[in-house]
Amino acid sequence: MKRVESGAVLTNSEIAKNIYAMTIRLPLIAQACKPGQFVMVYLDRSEMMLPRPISIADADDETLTLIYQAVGQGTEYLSRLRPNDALRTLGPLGNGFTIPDELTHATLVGGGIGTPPLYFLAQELLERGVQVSVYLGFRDESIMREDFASLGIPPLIATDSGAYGFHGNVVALLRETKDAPELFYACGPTSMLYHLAQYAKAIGVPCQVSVEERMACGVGACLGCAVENAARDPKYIKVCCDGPVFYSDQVVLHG
Amino acid sequence: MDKNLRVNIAGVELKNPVMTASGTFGSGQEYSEFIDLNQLGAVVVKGVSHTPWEGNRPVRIAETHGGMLNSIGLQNPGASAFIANDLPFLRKFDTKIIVNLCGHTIEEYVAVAGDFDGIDVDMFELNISCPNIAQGGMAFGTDPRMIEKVVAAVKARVNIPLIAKLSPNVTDIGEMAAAAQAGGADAISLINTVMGMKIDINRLKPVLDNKVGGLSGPAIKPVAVRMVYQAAKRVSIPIIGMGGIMTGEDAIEFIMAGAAAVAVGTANFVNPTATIDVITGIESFMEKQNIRDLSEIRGIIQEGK
Repeated sequence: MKRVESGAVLTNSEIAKNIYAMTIRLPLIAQACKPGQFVMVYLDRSEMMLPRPISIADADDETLTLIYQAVGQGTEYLSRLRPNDALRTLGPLGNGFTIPDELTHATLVGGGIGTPPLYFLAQELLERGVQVSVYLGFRDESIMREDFASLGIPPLIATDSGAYGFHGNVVALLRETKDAPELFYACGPTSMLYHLAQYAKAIGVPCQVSVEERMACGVGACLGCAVENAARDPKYIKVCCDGPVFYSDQVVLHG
Repeated sequence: MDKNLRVNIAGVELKNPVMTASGTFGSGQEYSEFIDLNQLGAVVVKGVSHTPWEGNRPVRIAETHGGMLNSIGLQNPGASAFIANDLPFLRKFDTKIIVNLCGHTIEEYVAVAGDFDGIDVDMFELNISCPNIAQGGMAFGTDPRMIEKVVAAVKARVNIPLIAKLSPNVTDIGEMAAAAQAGGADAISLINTVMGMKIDINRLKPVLDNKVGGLSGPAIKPVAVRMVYQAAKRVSIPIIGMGGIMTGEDAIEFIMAGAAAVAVGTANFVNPTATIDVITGIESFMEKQNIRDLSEIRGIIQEGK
């Protein structure tokens, strides 16, 4: 069930340049959420009224972990919050990743700040006994490498700059390894999702993608977060409640 | 103290003056997990047209200082899908239902009104003020002759009260209000969003795909209060005031300017319980100021009151 819950920030630290990991004490949302869902974080600032949609990177019985990039005024404001500051949050929102009962081998593909929700998903998959491979792509600096490694699934890394791991994009890395899972799970920039979806289709593997769009309400009322519906009717569907996770053939992705 | 929050709009009795603003509350169900819809004076549902409208291409939303721009483009599944899928849920609640009607032409406005023949709703709100569609919408709402004509045409087709929703993107709101009344509107609601634009200076282009959109939120409240004040001078029909209402105090401003009722819009996005908080805020203001009935302060700032 969706709810508004306020809780104290426990930690909020920079884990890479402009990327922050925040833990917040939000037991009700933390217990209710599942991988692939997101929360809306209210800034409660009159000049920045709209809540910020942020994917859930991890949750336990008490706390929610959000990993976000400080890219604008709102997320920069979030990055300055300190332990014990209160944060009002709406969640859990969206449908989350679907895990088929018979799944035995899945490959997770993350791009940049799209990586965090895959960490939450990886734990769930491992608990269900699914074999998990992880591929992550970054411009330059990688994040969450150790987090996945500590789950026993060290990720293969691609960087655009060649600073670490494979020199190139993560879909090119994936092509080279010829990993053939039963299902891809992906979150990252739209162009990455587009190219992954093309690859997945070519090798006949279904692919779930988590997409993002600007949104105001998070609950399906404002119709701001439209994504093009591959089935055409209606032309647009909602990221916040029809998604954010779709099978890649359900939505029109742009390269 | 016994307080009376009830208000009568064109013969329809609302339990309190707080309604939702069209397009910010879905069809009610979206917010029913957060608030008790029975407590609302009325639910004004998202805009409905005769045939499905696909809406504008994203990006549809941009945040601005103290407000937001939207260019949704009145995406909706059409009247028959709305009646079949959305209305039954809302009808279960003890609140009034106001259906916002959209069209590109007078014929389309009349057609969508006709789609509700025999359907149990309480009032219509005629959207002649949406800035985000190429034809219809605001093109009607900024020309007094067109306002009178479209209001009269729809009024002749319906047998429940008709509210005309006015655009602020005009020179003289009083003239538009008077035209709606002359066309036979039973009430007017104002303001719809104010045309605005935001530019992404790093990408060298507007943030919204539609380039321009409608500004809402606290940033437009002074414009809205002023327009309610001016419109109230020109018409005798009830006014539903809206534009940036976040609190009970904001609502009281509109009522003092002359509004019979108010609508809460963008605040829902900032606070899912905003409508209930506004009702509670109005009640506590009345308590503090020893007001028994909102009629004691309605239009109180108007000269001659």
